[in-house]
Amino acid sequence: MWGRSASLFRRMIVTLGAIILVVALVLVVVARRHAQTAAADAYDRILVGVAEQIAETVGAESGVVSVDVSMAALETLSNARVDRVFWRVTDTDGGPVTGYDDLVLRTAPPAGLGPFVGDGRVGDLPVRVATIRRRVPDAARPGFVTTMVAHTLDARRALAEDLAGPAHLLIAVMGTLALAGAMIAARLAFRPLARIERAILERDPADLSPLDVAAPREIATLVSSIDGFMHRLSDRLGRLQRHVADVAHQIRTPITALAAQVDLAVGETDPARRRERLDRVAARIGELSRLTHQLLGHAMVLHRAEAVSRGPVDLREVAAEVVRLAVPDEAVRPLDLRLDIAEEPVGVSGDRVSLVEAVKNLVDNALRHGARRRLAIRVASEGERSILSVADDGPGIPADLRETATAPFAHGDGGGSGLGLAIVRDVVEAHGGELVFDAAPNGDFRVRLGFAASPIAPTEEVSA
Amino acid sequence: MIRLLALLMVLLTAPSLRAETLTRFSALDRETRVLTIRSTTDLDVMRPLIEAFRLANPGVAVVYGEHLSNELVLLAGEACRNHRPIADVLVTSSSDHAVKLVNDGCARPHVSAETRRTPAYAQWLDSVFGFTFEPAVIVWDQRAVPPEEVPRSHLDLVALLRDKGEAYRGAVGTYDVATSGIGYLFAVMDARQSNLYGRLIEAFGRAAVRLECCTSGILDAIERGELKIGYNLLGSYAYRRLAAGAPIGIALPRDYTLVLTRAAMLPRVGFDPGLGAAFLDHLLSEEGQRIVAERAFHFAAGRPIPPGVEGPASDDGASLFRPITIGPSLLAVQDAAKRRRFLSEWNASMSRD
Repeated sequence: MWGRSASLFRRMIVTLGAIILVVALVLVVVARRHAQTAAADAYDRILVGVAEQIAETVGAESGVVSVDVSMAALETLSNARVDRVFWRVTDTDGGPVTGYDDLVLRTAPPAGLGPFVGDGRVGDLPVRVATIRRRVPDAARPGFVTTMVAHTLDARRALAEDLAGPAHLLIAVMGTLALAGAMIAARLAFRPLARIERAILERDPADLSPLDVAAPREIATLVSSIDGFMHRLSDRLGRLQRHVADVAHQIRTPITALAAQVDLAVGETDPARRRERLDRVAARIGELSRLTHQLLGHAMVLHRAEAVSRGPVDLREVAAEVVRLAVPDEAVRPLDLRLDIAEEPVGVSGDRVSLVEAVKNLVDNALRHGARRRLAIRVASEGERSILSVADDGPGIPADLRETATAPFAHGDGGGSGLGLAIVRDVVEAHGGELVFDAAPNGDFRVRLGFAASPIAPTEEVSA
Repeated sequence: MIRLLALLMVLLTAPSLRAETLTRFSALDRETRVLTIRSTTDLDVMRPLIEAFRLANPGVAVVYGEHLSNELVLLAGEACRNHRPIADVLVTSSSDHAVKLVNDGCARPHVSAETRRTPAYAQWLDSVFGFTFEPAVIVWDQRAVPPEEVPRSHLDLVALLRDKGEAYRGAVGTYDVATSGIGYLFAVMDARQSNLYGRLIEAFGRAAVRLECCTSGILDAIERGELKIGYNLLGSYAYRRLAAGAPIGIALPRDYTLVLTRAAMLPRVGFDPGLGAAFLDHLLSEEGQRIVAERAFHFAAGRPIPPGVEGPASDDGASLFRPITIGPSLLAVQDAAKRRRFLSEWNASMSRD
């Protein structure tokens, strides 16, 4: 019914207008009914009065029923401005005494003397009829003389219209006033929204403090949501600023070192020593390059954690991809790479790219700082958990440093940027999983990533 | 033309439609339409109104039929039941007949600026309109009635017939209520108006009153010297005789004076309904009402009574006038039981002696 952006004001007014219209129509119907009843009542009384005046004159002279339809009786009707008038008086045996023989009642009146008022007709003409029965002792036959007086319906309809007219006018005026009132009320009700809008528009872009706006209860939630959002925005902005500062600091150190090495290399005349200097420059550049990759990887992981929707991911494929990426590095030195991969899919709900990045960093760390001869990667389902672990025969992380090892730029035994484990931790946290450092059964240092298991559909279309 | 032929066919083939007299006024210009009026009014009285209408509508020919009032109401009722046109306008002195026709659904309502000018007492349901003001008067032969015996009220008349019964035996004329619609209406109104009524008709019975169908017949008899007094005659007709030099006196009864307003109505079915409505508007218009008052009927509400007529000056005498108002109460006059009883009482009184 409504467009998504239809004005609240219009919704409210259209709804209220419809309600007012329905109420007004109901009132009109009620008023008309009432007016019709009142008019019918008034005219029925007059009709009964006339019938009584005529019935009073019913008598019998030497057995013959007589009646005097007096001008005075009919004058009552003249004063009431009725339209066409009919009467009929019938004898005790139903025979005619006087009046219109074609005046008939639609339904026979109940037994008794009356007066009764009901509908009837004269020929095709609908009329309202008052009926009175009188016992006439002197009539030839015992029984009742029936007097009927009727008139056509135009006058009572006109009276009903006259009565209903002011009510209609009143209803129209009240309806209009109600709608106008509703419009004013709606304008007033929406005023706090305008106030909030103005408060947000007028504020400095850098100002993320809570809105200081008085809000009615109904929109207090909206205001606190805005405040909450701004709080989160402010937090995030703060972290980002710290991160940027850290990154700048991290990059400055190797670049300073690099600059010093290059200076030394430029000043060196001995070719052998110069060569040695240049090797160091190359090593520094390699470190710098790796640091840059990790910074990018970290930024990507942070971004994807918030921006990318999750899907089913098979940890076996993650492991396979990491191994494939790690192969060139691995070829450099002989290593005992053991893969212990489950037969069935090991599913988690997550972001495949982030997971690959995390595991890649894990393996990278192991190769760079850990594994001397052995590297084991295991993927398995353990009950409701999907597990990926990486173990090596390196020194591992000392137990007292494990708490802080995952903070960004936390340097373990030196050499690394300290970002690798931070990336792993961020990805695991974003997936609601856990990161555990422990020892493998053979005593090797092991990093275990555990996630809630999530089924993998055999074919991806099935769930669509 | 075809319409006129049809009318003539209707008039010639239906015996019940034969008018007492049928007069045709040709159009002053080339004839395009025909207006048919059926009336209980003497043509001479209506003539100025018809002439004025012809002048205003030169393309219209007028057919004017004169009827006895009881005949006219029967004709109109029968035509109404058969959905057959007999006229475009009906004019009757028996306003109770007109009211009955309206009540029976035989009239076509008409609302115009002219009908709205008509006072409320002289119209009913926008269908029947009184357009005249005609007092019921006492007329006497000035040659035969000594001034001290002139009856100037109902009581005078009763006393005169009681005291000088022999002298006026057979010399008083009034309507035969059985055949005259206006006579019946006046008699019912008299009976309602005054407790003298019973004594009056008893006196009429004893005086062997002469019964006529029409005002003109009684006036003729007075002029010829056959009657000395006429009772309840239409003032408008009597005044024409007086103005023409007839040796008569006219008095508005000073205890109360019944006033008739002649009724005009449009029948439900007409030959040329638009023309009927135009003639009705003409009767009710300012110009038409001026002709009614000055040239046709001589009396009018709010105007002084014409010279030579005895009666209260119009101003202070207004309360003596008893206008027969047009409305549903007149329906009672035509109630069958009432008419039966009324006529039997009348006949009983007349045949006494």
